[in-house]
Amino acid sequence: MTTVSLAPAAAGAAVCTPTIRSRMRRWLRKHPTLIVGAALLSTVAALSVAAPWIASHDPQALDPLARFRPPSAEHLFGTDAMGRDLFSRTVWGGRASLSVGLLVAVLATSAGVALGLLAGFVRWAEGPVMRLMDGLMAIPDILLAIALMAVTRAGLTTVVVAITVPQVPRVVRLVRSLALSLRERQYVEAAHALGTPLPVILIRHVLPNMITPLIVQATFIAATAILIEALLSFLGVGLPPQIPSWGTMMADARNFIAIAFHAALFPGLFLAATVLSVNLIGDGLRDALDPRLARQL
Amino acid sequence: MTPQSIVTPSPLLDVTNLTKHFVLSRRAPWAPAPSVKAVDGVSFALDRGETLSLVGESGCGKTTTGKSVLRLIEPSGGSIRLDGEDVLSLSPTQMRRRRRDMQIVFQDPYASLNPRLPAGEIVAEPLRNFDDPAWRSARQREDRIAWLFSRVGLRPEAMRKLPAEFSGGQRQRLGIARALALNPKLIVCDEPVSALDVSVQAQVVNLLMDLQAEFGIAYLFVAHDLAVVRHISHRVAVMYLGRIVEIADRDTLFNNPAHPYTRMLLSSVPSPRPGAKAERVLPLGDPPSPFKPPSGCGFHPRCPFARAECRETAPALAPPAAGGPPSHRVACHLAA
Repeated sequence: MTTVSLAPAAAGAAVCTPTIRSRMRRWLRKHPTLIVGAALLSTVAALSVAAPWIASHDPQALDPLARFRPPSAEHLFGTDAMGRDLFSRTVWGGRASLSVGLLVAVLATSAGVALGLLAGFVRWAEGPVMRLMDGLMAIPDILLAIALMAVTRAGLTTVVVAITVPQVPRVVRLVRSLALSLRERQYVEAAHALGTPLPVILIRHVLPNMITPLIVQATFIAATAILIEALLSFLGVGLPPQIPSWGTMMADARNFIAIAFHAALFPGLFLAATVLSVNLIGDGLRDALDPRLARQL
Repeated sequence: MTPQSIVTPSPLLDVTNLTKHFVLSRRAPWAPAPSVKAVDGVSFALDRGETLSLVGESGCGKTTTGKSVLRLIEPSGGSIRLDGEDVLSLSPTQMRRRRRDMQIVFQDPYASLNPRLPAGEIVAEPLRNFDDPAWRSARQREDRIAWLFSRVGLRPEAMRKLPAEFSGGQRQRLGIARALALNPKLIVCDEPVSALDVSVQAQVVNLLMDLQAEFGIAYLFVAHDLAVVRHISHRVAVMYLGRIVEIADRDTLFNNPAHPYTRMLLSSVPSPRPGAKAERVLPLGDPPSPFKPPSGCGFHPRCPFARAECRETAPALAPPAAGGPPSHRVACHLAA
């Protein structure tokens, strides 16, 4: 046949590229939740990022003559009680949800890593930091977020902070427990013996070895944050009314649910799809990156 | 003037009455917290370019002693002087600077290297920690790492490999290169060959001896393999239950052991001659619990020669009555 007498160099090149690609394909096939989650999330993300261009109307423009319109070619998702275009509001609302999710995940993880490493590596800090975290964890995260919003002015920053604070203790606990086991690793002891300063030890030897569980945890925090943002906005203590948000939209639609079901349906579907996709990605990442943990659950 | 009046140069490392008590959590609020005396009053000195081995069975405190000397384990008491400087009084920052002179090679060559860093980076780490005109630029560092690699018998091209790509012996060579990088005066070798195959053990031990001859490094060699100890040591200290029970130069200790425990340890070494008449002296029973160390001499419950005074008073480390070299010390009522 023709394939028998390939030159060694050509054979090597031919084997090399497909191996990486086929290995990636096999890896993806082994983790379908990751693919489904990523596909769903990228759809929502693409719609949200493209909001300024694909929105058919100004999401805040009132049209009292076009109230409670059902979905149509003019208004893809219909209109709400004030005649605002629901499709435009939904895609703009995705921006709020996704940015809150991303910001909270990044902020809570960073703060948690800093405090967790402090508690894990600095002996005198452990007691105070962990007791503070226990105190924060004793309050349900939604109540704490509502309480924090009650003392501040509504805005994207304050919402992000109010949702971040209750999530920090989870990360701190995770990081501290990882730090306690990594601290006893001999290569960390070796770094001490070599005279490596503690900050360098943390960055070179400790952090890279805890990145996997941190990514997984950050994903779940993003999902929680999106839900809590919607809930706060639904209760009227979240984002200010001038920022379209799925929670606000559902709150507005609540009173008219009998006559305009669609006004609550679309933001609700988008919220469910987004949270589901982020959770699927979290599950998938956990299974893919940490096989031992996956088998336990 | 008599030779005695000449001031003897101070040893490189002078350890006096070193103790390490691990305090455990108390069982009840009124009960005293139980503690283990892992190291209980250990004193020894180590000269420049000398190898002192610490031997003893598992749990006798030899590794704790080695790590306490480097303050990787914080000692509970005693004093450690390196070049006459009291190491235990140094602040964390001063201690970090002092580590340049005192390094360690670990027992497990698999656990002691960060699996995510390439070999060259592992050896570069100590060089980055201490500024020196000899390795200030990246180029000089690379040259030095290459030199260190070849000096410990690794190919400099292996710098980019990850630890997982090396064999156990090669990894231990990597650990030695890392310890050697700063030109230390002292290297604590914590059972550096006990995790390796016998054929590789000899290579690594010989490498350590070559490096000592070349750079005049002193080794505190923690080990339980007496054949290795006999090969590498100048002096040997035998530890039992956190104390040194006998210390002497190598030939005295192996040929004229004075402590019953030392004799038992030596008799447990298999003879290389088949059919040789083995005179095995076995200790009675099991090692005692370190929570409840026996009264008097720690060895008396297992010692076939124990007398009444052995149960009551702990013997001091003193020259044996039988005479011998002046450096020989033994802690036994029967030998004193």
